[in-house]
Amino acid sequence: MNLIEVRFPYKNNNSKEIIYSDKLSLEIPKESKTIILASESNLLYELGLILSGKAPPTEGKIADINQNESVYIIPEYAAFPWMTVKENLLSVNEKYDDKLVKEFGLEPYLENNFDDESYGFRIKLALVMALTADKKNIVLFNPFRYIKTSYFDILMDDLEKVKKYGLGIIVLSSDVQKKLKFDNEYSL
Amino acid sequence: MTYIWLEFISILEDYLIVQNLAFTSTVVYSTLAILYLFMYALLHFTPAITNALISIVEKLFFIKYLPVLIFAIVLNLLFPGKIWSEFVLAFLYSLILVLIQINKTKSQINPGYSKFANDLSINFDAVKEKLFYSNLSRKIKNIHYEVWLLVLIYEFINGQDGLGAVLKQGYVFNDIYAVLVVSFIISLLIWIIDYSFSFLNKYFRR
Repeated sequence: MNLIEVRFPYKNNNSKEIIYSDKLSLEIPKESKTIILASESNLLYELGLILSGKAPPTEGKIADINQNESVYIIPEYAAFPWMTVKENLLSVNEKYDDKLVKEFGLEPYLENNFDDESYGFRIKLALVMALTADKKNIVLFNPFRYIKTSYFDILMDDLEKVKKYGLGIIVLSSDVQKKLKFDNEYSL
Repeated sequence: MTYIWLEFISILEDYLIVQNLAFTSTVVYSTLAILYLFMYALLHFTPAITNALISIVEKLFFIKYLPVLIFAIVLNLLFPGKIWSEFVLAFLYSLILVLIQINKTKSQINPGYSKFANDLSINFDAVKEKLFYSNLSRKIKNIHYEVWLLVLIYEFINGQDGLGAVLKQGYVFNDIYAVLVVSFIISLLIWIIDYSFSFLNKYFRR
């Protein structure tokens, strides 16, 4: 996916004023794990909408994007906490892959509900749902803000598994995570 | 201390508190148990009826502004001394409260979920339906206190059976100690049941 001199509006975190981003040009290779860092979470949120094909940029072009193949995961709305894990998976498809469920360690929790605030678990489930839905690209908004430090490695491990299935992952983060390894890193 | 204990025992005996406690808690908890089974069946097998009931409750929104005292007085006047009318009142009142709770849950759903569902081509209406009957026991736990209040008011007006009638006797005989003892027993029971509900809910969710 290539962003060519893309510009878009966003709300400034402090002043709440609507301002325009600088022109962004990024080259995001397919089937890679990419992290995009910026201090402004609103800028990242709007960029996520553009990268997942939900909103067009005001200026510039995006090459090589298929909006129906992307999932935008926002931890607060990832998966449906009023349903069991199994019900979540079945809502995507009539059948889910048992191997996938085992690989991501969801098997013991299939019949369980989960807490609204278990963001790590919600992201994990949303990733499996995206795989079940046969999506090609995942945009993950600010995960490190929502999950505990002890869960970082589990998330990275899950992202690696997702990548192995041939999906591209873009993590938008307002927290710099130097220890975590991504294939590409961009700072805005 | 011995005097207080003896006084406590004599109040239990004089006002037949154990029998009356059994009566009132039977009314409250059998109503809640029947309500749970009724709502479970309704939500699982006929969601359309639930939607119809919710829209009726929405249309009769003014009901929530009527104090429960009015319902209790009207039913006592219409069916004086009838035990079944206490059950009917408790059931209908708790049914309305649960439907209001379900409706509230429905309207509180964040559009973020619909966007997530859309991304994965999930039928969001079907997902939303599931929200109706999720945590039914928690919804019933939330109305537990209100149902107790209604039943006590009904029995207080009726003055024949239950802890509400004991409170009325204590009031008529100017026996503040009896009123305090009954209040303590009711609070303790509500607290224990509330705590057990939360504990079981947490235990079975994990």
